[in-house]
Amino acid sequence: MTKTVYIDPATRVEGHAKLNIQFNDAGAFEKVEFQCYEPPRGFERLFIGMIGEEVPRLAAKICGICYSAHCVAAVQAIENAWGVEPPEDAIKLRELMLLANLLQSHILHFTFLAMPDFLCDNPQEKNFVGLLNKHKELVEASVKLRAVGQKLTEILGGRQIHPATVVPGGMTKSLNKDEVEKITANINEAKVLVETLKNCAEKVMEAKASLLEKFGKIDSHFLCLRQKQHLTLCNADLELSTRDGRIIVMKPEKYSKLVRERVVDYSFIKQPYLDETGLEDGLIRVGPLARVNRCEWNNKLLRKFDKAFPRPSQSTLAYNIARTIEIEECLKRIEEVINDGVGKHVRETVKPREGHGVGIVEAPRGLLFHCYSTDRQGIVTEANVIAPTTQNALAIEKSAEAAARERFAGKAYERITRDDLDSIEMVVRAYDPCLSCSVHLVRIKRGL
Amino acid sequence: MPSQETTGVALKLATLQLCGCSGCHISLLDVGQSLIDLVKNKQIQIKYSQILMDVKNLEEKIDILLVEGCVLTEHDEEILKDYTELAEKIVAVGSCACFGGPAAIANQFGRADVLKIMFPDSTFSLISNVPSHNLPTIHEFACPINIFVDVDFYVPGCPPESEILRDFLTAIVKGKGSFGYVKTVCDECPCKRTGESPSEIKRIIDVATLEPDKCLVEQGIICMGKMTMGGCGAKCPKAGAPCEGCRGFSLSLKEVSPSDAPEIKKALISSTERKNR
Ligand code: SF4
Ligand code: SF4
Ligand code: SF4
Repeated sequence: MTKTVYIDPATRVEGHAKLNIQFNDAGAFEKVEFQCYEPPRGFERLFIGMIGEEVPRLAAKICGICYSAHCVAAVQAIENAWGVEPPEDAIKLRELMLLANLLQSHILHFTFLAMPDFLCDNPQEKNFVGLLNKHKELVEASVKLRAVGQKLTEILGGRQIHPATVVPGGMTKSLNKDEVEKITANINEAKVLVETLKNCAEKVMEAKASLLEKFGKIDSHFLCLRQKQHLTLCNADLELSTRDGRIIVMKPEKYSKLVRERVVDYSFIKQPYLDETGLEDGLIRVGPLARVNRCEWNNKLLRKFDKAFPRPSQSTLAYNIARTIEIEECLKRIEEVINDGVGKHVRETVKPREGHGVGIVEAPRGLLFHCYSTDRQGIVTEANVIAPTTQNALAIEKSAEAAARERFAGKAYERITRDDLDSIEMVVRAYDPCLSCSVHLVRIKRGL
Repeated sequence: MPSQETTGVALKLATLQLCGCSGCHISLLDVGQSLIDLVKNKQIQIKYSQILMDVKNLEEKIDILLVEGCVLTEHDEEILKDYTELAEKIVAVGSCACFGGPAAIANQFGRADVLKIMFPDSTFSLISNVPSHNLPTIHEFACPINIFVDVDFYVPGCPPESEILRDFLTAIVKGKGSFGYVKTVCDECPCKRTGESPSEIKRIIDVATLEPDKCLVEQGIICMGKMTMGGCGAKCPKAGAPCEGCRGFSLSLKEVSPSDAPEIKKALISSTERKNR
């Protein structure tokens, strides 16, 4: 009889998933299924029949962690469909929103979800309460840093979560002098606080070097927006780095030509893969590791990362360190945009028209696509969302499988320990999967 | 409800996520230092929270269960009922748990229609392409949690602002469940109103220069403030965006109808008339 061990629910991840670890008749490890049982809430249907200007606010509600990414990708897609260019200053405000969102999301993951695995020993203590006892400074710095991200989102979007100010044609508000000062003060504070996180990441990198490098490692292609001199979350070309070292740059709309997807009967998430290489060799990954692998930022932690995980790195657990690098780069970029100045002209009137549009941003977890078709009056007739966790779905499963294979080599089913299972979960967690988002993808159509 | 302050025993709390977006959990985390202090001072003790800790199943009695999300699957329903058995008080946190939220808007189309878009090859009666192996059945309707269990407190909002959650937690530690209540969003909106009806209803994309201090409805933009339960501090109108009613209908409404906002009704009628002319 085949046997299955369940990790149910996967904890310290967003949304509902479990891992089914399967063993054959002889009790030897066979495979892992990453099963998402978060039901599709039906956004793709909800958008149909709505006027385009209402889409960004509803789109935010796809995810309570990366709301701004959904909001901005949606508005880009609507504007693209209507042939509209928002004013320069509105584009800046939206970039700031994406950055603020990434800041809070990355810190949430790094400190509250990921670090307990590396800093707490006792399984009962692997959470923020356990962390609070031993690493009070880290928790308190992180609470403050997250608050900085949320304060910025509130200033830019009107609310901390599910922003309200994004409309086709621009933004409903700009920044006044007070708000700019507040942002600057917050960023200055954050620049000091971030040192605590960086120190922590460095220590973990030293103490667990070989675990981070090897455990759960797989071989995949990477997709991200082309990174400029700064952390780039929007308005850039798409870049595919293949397993054999080729770099292919293309217009983001080409995505649909690149990937195919498969539906598996045990999960509500579909699994895309690179068409060119087929399912077996077509694993793709998006997110912090994909971006950091391709960046040329001037960052001290990045140089240490390079030594520990020579780029392009395939180390799954290196996602955690890549995230810390991005936190610092994110603060730098916010400062840059603010110093550059944001003017008052942030909105223009817009005429809807019949059309089809695509919006692409880097969400905290990776590439996010929104596509809409509208009719002459701007009413949505078709909607499609492809979230980062969906694109990582197959890689998550394969990484968990690689980890399980290592842990269970020569080990019979009966001798599995809690520690084994926890370690497999840790690998899944490295991707910071966000399952509410992931089931809201629809079909990948040729020609999007 | 015993007050933690009089008993000195930490309130045992669990958070449960059903079908939602996690935004309510994130807002709870945004309570930030005050939440950390409640934990540190042993005023509350978190016994289960899938997103924050590794406890796989809640197996003990607790004082308070905070529920995010609506009920959309068999699994949502079962776990909600099971955990409710263990909890003294049930709190519906956020508009999904209180009223159904976004998922419930899709109820009007029928679940099969929704799933058909996700998994396009499925037919109406036989949803063959929808993955089902070992997966929970999806209900026809997304429902608020009070359809299945008795709810003690409602904290609406999409998500409830973290200030609201902070005040709620502080109140509950003191043994109280309710706190300040504002009738409508208009009641706390600083925008100036003259009482005039707008001459026509406009789409927000048609007007790039809205006057920031003037009521949106009076400028022709539909804003739900007048019908919506207050408490958020009118955050959206303050940022130049209309209220979309995320906190649900104000309890002061006798019935929900356009007559609750006569100026919108009048403007709608005059806009339609103009179009028909
Ligand atoms: S109420 Fe809003 S924020 Fe809360 S889970 Fe539902 S959609 Fe998300
Ligand atoms: S209708 Fe909207 S803008 Fe006008 S007062 Fe009420 S909440 Fe404010
Ligand atoms: S103004 Fe309206 S939409 Fe905005 S937070 Fe308040 S109730 Fe929700």
